Amino acid sequence: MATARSAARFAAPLEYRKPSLLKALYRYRYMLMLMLPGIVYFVVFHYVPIYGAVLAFKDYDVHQGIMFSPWVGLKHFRRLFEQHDVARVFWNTVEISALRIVFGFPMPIILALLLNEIFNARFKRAVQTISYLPHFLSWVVVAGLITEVLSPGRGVYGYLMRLIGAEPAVLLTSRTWFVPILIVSGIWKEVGWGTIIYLATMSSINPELYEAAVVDGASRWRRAISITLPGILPVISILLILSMTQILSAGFDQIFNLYNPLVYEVADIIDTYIYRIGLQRFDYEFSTAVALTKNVIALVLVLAVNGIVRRFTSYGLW
Amino acid sequence: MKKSLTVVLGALLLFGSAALALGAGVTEGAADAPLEIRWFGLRQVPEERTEVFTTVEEWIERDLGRAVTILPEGVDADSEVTEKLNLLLASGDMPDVFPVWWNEEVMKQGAARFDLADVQEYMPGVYRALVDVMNVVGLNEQGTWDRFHRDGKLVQIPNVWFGGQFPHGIAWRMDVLESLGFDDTPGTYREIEEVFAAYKAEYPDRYPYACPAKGLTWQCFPMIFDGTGWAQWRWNVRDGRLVHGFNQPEMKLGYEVARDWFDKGYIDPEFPTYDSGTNVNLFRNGETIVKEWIGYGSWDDSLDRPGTEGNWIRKVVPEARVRMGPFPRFSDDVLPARYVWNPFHGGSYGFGRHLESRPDDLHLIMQIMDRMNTDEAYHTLTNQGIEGKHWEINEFGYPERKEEFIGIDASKQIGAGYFWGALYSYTPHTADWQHPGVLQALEDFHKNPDGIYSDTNIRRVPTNRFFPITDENGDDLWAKMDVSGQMEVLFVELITGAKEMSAFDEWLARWEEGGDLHVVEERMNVINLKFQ
Repeated sequence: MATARSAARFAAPLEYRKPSLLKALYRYRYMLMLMLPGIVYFVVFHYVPIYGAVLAFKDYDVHQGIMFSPWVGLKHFRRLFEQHDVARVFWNTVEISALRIVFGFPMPIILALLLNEIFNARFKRAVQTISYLPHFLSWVVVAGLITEVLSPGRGVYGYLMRLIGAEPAVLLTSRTWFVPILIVSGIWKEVGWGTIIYLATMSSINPELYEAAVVDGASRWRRAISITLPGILPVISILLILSMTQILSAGFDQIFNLYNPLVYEVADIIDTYIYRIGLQRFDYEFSTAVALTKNVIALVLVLAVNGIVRRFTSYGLW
Repeated sequence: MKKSLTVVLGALLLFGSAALALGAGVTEGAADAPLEIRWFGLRQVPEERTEVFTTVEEWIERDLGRAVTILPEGVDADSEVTEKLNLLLASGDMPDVFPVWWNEEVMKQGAARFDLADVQEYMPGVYRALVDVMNVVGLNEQGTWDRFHRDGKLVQIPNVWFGGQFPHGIAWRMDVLESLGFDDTPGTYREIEEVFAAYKAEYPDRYPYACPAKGLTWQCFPMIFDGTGWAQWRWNVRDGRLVHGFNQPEMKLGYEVARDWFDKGYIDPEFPTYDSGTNVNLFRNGETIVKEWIGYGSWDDSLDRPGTEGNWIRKVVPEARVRMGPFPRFSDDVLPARYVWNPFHGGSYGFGRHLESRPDDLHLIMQIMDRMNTDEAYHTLTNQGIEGKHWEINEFGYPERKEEFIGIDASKQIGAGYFWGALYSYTPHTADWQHPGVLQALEDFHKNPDGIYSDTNIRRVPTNRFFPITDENGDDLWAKMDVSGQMEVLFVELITGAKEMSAFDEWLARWEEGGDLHVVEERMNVINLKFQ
């Protein structure tokens, strides 16, 4: 009898039974406990504040609070199209961000590829450490450094220009030079830090591929291009998609600490605009409307880029 | 599983949102616990409570019968006051005492409302002093109080600053001028240009003149623009109407001079990137030779009295000497215009709206402020520190900080000077600014009709905007159109040559031809009629 039951059991197809939520929670309780601080962080600091987005549709009264302030529909969004400077700040933001991606995104990849070719471990560590250091400086400090270095009167730049007999210009007040300064200083500050994830990925590439390539007579350049680069392509794809979320966040701290009235026209971005409108003029409703618009556009961009990347590489966020 | 987790996260989100929306409130201590007073200050905010705080608290308990704990908070830079208070207001976290600074939203939504009777009863010393000063400067008392009202109630206490009635002056590095062959400060545009030209010839890579256009554009180059006869960044009365100084046609004279000096290398081309601190340091380090905005406390050329410009410079350049100079003018029959703050200095203070429901606490805080500002001992303690430790009575019979406790960093460390924004500081009723040198300089430079800053030689333009310039919907036109921002940019562009002078003509046309900016001026006049 028992034998027959066993035979029937083995004869029946195996059925996967989805565990109930409670059982799953219990089974993975330790993993979930590890996740808990992260979940709490995201809920408290990233999800709950989303509730404040309703301000864009209300006239905020401090004493009535966000929830009970009166609804005003799309009033603040209509202002978006009436304010003459909104289009300019959107354009500036996109322009600066696009330049950051075009020039800044490949830099950590290139540096990581170069670092990967260094065999002297001590030298490699030294280069890595030095290139990481600027990341830990705040933009307030870095902006002070840049201002001093680029000063035509007191800085290294002015000294060098005079040394070659040229008249130094004030680069930080130049609408031509200000954006390139933003891009270059941004790269200088973050390029080292940006290499970490690529170097980590490179370390996971199967060394046998390199050995085989050496046997086949591949040069270091060929190995880097044909093995290392394809090896980190999934990470590059994901980071590129993620960088799209920042396309409308062109670097508030950096610009706020470096800009001046002469370059507002090219340097005023959505975040500096929101800061001025919201914090300095107590127009939180309008600044929320601007921010919400910005985030919706960013979401659309991320979805679009994710779709494009998936189409061509089969990698993607989801 | 995914659906269940979504439900859990959704519930958390809803719960958190509800908690955030409903949970805002003021935490109050137990009835017999010391009353915690969050005191928002600026410029020299101590990082922690100091002996000055505990001593003040002991005195308050002794004199007013209530234990209190004063908690310092605030910002170091004046330019951050508005945004910080806006943030606190929006998050329902207003302090108990704070500078209002004509912040309209704070006045309407964040400040406690009270009656003049409250001031008379709980701040009798301050009330008497305010009325005294109103009488001295010839102000209608009721009209003055009205300007501090919103919705029929007072929302802030005026800060009548004694020094606010005197124009700020111009300090020159006299030792540099003498080394260049000049035996006195220049007084005309031509003379100033001669000094600058001589300096430039001697030091081709240096610039004698700068200003803090980053954040404080309105402090830029009054030596040039005040000579037009209009206060550039303020409302002036012209032909019986309020007009903004920035858009007076005469300003073009100033721009032409400024542009010319910029092109000749007399004005530091980096001035758009300079903030206040950098600009001060340039002068104190001897890189520029002229500095504007010198308050009357530093008019005398004493080099040994700590805190004066001369004394600061001498620490860096031992041979330095400073002398005050006159304002040049574009025409003999036009007096240079210098705006003054009195009696509506921006340092007016208010109390948190939440105190309306705790009138006893509000009145206690008013009494504390009254003592701090009109009681000699309280005032000295909160401004100078502990007797014998931080200050001593000097040869002239008034308290003076010891050398090692002078300056902003020292003030932060000892917790003194933090309450400066409390009203009525720097009045003749207190010990500040009683130095014979200061008083003599005041006499020589201002009260004497021949003085370079006297009413014979300067036209004082008082601050006169007290209400927001709103459109028919109640929106703040000035802010909405970013008028200040547009002015700052145009100002710098015209001086540096980023824009041609015709841009100023276009700007004037916008004011004069019934266009967008003209509306602002018209509204300002409508509002002002209420108070004439």
